[in-house]
Amino acid sequence: MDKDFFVREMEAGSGMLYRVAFSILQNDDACADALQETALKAWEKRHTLREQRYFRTWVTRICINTCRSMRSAGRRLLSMEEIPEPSAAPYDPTLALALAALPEQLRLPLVLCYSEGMTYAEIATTLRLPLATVRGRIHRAKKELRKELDAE
Amino acid sequence: MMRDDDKLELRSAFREEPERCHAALMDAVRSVREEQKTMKKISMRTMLIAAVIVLSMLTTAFAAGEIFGWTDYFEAWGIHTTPGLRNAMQTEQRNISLGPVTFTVQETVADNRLAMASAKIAVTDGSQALLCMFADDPVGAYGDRSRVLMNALGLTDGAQTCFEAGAQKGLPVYAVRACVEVDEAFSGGEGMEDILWDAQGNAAYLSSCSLNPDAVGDELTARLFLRVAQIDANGEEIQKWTTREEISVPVSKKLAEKTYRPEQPLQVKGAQIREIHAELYATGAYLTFAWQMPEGMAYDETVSMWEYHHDDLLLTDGSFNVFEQGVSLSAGYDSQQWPLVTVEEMINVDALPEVIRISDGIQDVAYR
Repeated sequence: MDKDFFVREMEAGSGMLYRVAFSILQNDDACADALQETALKAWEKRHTLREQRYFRTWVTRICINTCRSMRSAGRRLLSMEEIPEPSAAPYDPTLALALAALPEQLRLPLVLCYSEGMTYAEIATTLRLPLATVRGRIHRAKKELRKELDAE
Repeated sequence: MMRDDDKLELRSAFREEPERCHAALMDAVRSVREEQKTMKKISMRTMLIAAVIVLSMLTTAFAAGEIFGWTDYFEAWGIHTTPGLRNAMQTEQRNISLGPVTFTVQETVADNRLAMASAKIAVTDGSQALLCMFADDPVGAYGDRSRVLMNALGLTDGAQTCFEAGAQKGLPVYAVRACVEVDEAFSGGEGMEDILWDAQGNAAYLSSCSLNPDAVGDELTARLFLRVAQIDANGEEIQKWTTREEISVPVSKKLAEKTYRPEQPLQVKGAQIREIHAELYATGAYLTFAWQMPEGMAYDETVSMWEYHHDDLLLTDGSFNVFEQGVSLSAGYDSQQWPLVTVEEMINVDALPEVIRISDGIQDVAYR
């Protein structure tokens, strides 16, 4: 993998990586740190990517691992006092809260599927889970999300 | 590619990526340097850390008329079934008709931790149908495997659900299951189910269940739970058939065992792998890693330790040949003797190695 490819793919995947990181860390400052570490780790481990067409799932896994390591190391997480930057894209705060209320085990596969458009097979490889487990978690996540939304 | 389900659009649950996050990412990306360096031999082998991810997405082609099952399934994971495993399998085929389909029980085998079975599923009268696990799954949900099914049936839209695709093509849709079950006394927990398709659109259903090693003896009483449900154009079950059939599952005995110890244990963030205990069966070798957690580590940190540090370790033999993942695709984790935590995983070997080397990409430690 050369640097040009790396820059191009990371630029293209930046939004996805942010959403994945936010799904875990729920805090923009922590996300910024995580994304920085993800970039450096991905470059350091670039020789572990056997085929460039799998870059997306490969770097997503590195991002997930980085975020979880940061969280377990006790870095600052959710801060309700943060004032988010204004967003030009459509934003549904009710949906955001309902999604945040899901356990991560359910939230992450759901985000990878219905926000990032990954197939079950891609999610299975990203999360190192059997495909049937991915399917089951997405199914449960949708049910739980509907419950959260109905309760709002 | 994924279809909106009940207008579920999760992108709007996120604000736009903040500029400071984008800048943090891209500043780091642009700061990296392309250095010319000699790859260490062990570094080259770390490609396999990602290979388990990558290889699970390989296309597997199926020839018409051939039995297909576990070997084909594992190839998609980059696992080559060993002669020992293939010899240990019961492969006498048995047909069971249920509703409009015929299940052909093909392969069964067990050791003291895992029972596995595969069954081919085809429409009895030879006509075409869409066979699936769950009718509301997107047709394309299974990646490369889905492409085989879609090619077989002339489907083009992977975002359609199976029942939508069947309705569009005028094909009957059957949701099928063929799951191995054991009595409660033998059960060790969760199982696994998955499905493959051949070039004609027939299905191979793979299932396994965890066993209680203390309960499994020379023989195992097992059944195959079979289910077929016909699905209409709205995704509703309009007819279903179920049965349970006793099946013969040969149990592979323990062939060898060994405990491996290092001169100096591998250390990861203060935790160390004290030893590795290996048990060999015809199905492969189970490795149990004894992790000693450091003083002061909180119990809830162990999940992270196991899942994200153990998972990234590379296992090789004495010549740096990487061990393939074993046929038990999941790993076991036991913290009941905290601060000692055991992690069990399987490798695909016919004989116990002399040496097991563990590397995290920086240190490399031999266990003998």
